[in-house]
Amino acid sequence: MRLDKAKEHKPLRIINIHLSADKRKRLMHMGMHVGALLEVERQSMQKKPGLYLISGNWIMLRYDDAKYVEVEQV
Amino acid sequence: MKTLEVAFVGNPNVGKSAWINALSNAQFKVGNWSGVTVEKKEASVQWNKQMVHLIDLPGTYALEDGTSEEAITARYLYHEHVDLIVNVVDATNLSRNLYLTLKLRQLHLPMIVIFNFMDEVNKYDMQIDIAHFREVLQLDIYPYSAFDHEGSDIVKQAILSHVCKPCTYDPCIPSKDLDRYRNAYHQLSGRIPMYMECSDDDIKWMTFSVLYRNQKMIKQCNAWNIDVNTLTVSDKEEELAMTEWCDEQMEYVKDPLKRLQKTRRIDHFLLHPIFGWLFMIFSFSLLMMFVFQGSAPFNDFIDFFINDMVMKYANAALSFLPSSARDLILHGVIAGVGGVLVFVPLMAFLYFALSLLEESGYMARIAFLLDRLMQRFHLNGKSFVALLLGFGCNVPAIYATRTLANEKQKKLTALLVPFMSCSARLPVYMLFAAAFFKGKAAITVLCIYGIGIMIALMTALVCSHMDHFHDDSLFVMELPPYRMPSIFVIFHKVKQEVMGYVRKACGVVLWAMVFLWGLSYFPNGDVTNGYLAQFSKHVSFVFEPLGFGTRWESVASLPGSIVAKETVVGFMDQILLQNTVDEIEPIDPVEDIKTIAFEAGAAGKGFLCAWIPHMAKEPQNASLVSAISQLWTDKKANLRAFSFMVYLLLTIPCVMSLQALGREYGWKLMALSIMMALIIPYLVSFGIFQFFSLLT
Repeated sequence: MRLDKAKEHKPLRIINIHLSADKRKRLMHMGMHVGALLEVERQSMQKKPGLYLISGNWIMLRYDDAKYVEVEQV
Repeated sequence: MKTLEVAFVGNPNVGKSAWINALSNAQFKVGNWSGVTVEKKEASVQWNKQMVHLIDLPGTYALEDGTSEEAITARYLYHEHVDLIVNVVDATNLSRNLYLTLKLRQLHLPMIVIFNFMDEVNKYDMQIDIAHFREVLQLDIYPYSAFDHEGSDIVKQAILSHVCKPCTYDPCIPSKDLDRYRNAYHQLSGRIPMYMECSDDDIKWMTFSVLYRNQKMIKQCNAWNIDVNTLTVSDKEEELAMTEWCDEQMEYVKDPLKRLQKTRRIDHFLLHPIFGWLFMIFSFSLLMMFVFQGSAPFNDFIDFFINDMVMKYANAALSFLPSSARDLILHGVIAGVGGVLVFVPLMAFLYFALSLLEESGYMARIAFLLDRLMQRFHLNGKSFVALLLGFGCNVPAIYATRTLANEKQKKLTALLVPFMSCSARLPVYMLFAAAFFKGKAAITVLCIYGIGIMIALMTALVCSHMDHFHDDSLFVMELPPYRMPSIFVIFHKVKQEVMGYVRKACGVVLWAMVFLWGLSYFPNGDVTNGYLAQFSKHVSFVFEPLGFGTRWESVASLPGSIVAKETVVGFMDQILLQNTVDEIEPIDPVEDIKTIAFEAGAAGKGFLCAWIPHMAKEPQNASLVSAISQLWTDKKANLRAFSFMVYLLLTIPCVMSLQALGREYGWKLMALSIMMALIIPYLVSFGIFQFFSLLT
């Protein structure tokens, strides 16, 4: 399942990030890496950015980037 | 005696600057959003006869050349001499903050850790097993909050006692990889050549590097004829292992999400797709009302004090001087600089409002709400924050573009900042709006701000199609929890900014005013026939199609605006009020003190009435407003004044902004900015004046 399609307030785990190494690293520094647990706080609607809770921190990610993050429900 | 270099390092928005302020009484800017510190700053203190440099490094998530502030921190730590690292950590958000701590340990420098925001940890009843973290990190941890000042003495002592202390740290390995690590350690320790004389610590870190497939280390092993394939290496890289280790440590923190409950409830409303926008518009309107109407009575008081009192006493005191010298001091210095100082309350109110947005954490929410809109113009929410800061002053706003992740985005945003109407331009708008748009001054000024934003967005749209600015980078941003703004911090911020404004008025503006006075006064002491007047009269035909070129005074005020925008007010004061103070008025100090006290009381009363719409007063410098209103008296007078304001909004930014642009992004971008500022304001003012002329 892609992150942009995930439902709000359900625990998720990142299983893959289909982005370039640079972008993956940037996400990892914000706590978003393969294996990390997260929750959709506010899903991106009409291409607006989404808000994700990762490691006790709210991270904003755009719809265009969230669709490259593959997650599974925990 | 050697000066100790102590570097404060941590993630963005963890309170590094606040800690340095607490330890040294420095007044570095702080705020509740990432990227407040964008360059290295330094405070010097003397503790126990020992000179110590406290170095405030920009917030970073890792020690890599990511954003420019990350690069500044990384380069400093890798290449400069550091006696001690003070790692400031947000105790309410350990899992993400500890990643940098692990990275810093790899530098093998003396280090202490401050768990900041402990007041919030206690407030939300979170429990952190500090002893566990001391043990696993092999570091001394000081759990204190910068704002409480309770721990500053302890931290001071800790800094002095840990400087240059030998340090050894073991690698932190996630529990899943511990067996692999132990195996690899045993295998490697038996195979490293004896002549290398590696210590046990060296071998531990070599094992760590091999375990997580560090290419340099693998090459080194190959050079020693150690077959790395026979070692049990992990399938992940070092960074990921470190992140996993940080996540594992969260079991030693109880209720880490408790602190988010309040923020979540507030955000439910403030980030709502409809209510969030309504609230944002409402808060902006309130902010404008607070800044313009709240400051008006105080502006009037300072205007009265300078123009009625200071001028009267200076005129009397300087009566022995020849008329040219008296004219220089009265009309050049006091009128010019005084015209700028009148707006000190306006600046204070503006910075108070901006600080409130920053400190509370709402600034990041504005970026979140506006990101989609900004994306349409190939910008992002964080660009908006930099542009918003431009309403205060363009110079820090240009520096704030450093926090953007991508070089092209930075350049594009920096190029747009000068279109944001900085606070220095505000006094000019207020005067012209009060003179020509009586009763509608606030709306007129809002329109000017709106035009600036519109032109900036249109420019972004055009520029984004150029390869030089086109960008498809990842945009990710952290939203801090809401925090109650500290009045102490806000007061210091406002004081700093206002003092900066006053210093500018007494420095660069003063010299510009004296220079402009010289150009106006010479050769014959008549401003209407001075060098500046003659030159302006010759070139004013260029500005006639824009409406305001019919009066040379408006054209003559433009060159000074390149030095600092405030000079337009001072210049108008010099030029238009030239004959008002030459007669020496009788002096009665007792009566004057009574008048000052009465006016001060009236200012306070006016502030209270500012919130009642029909009793609100628009800020004005009465004598100057009246003189400006006589600049144009025909039926297109309002249009001419509006065209002048728009021209001033978009024209060449002040030299300090240009210098910031050049310093940050090179002379080419600075030249492009100047070129745009020559063409765009002319076209826009021309368009506005000609179009609306057809309608009137």
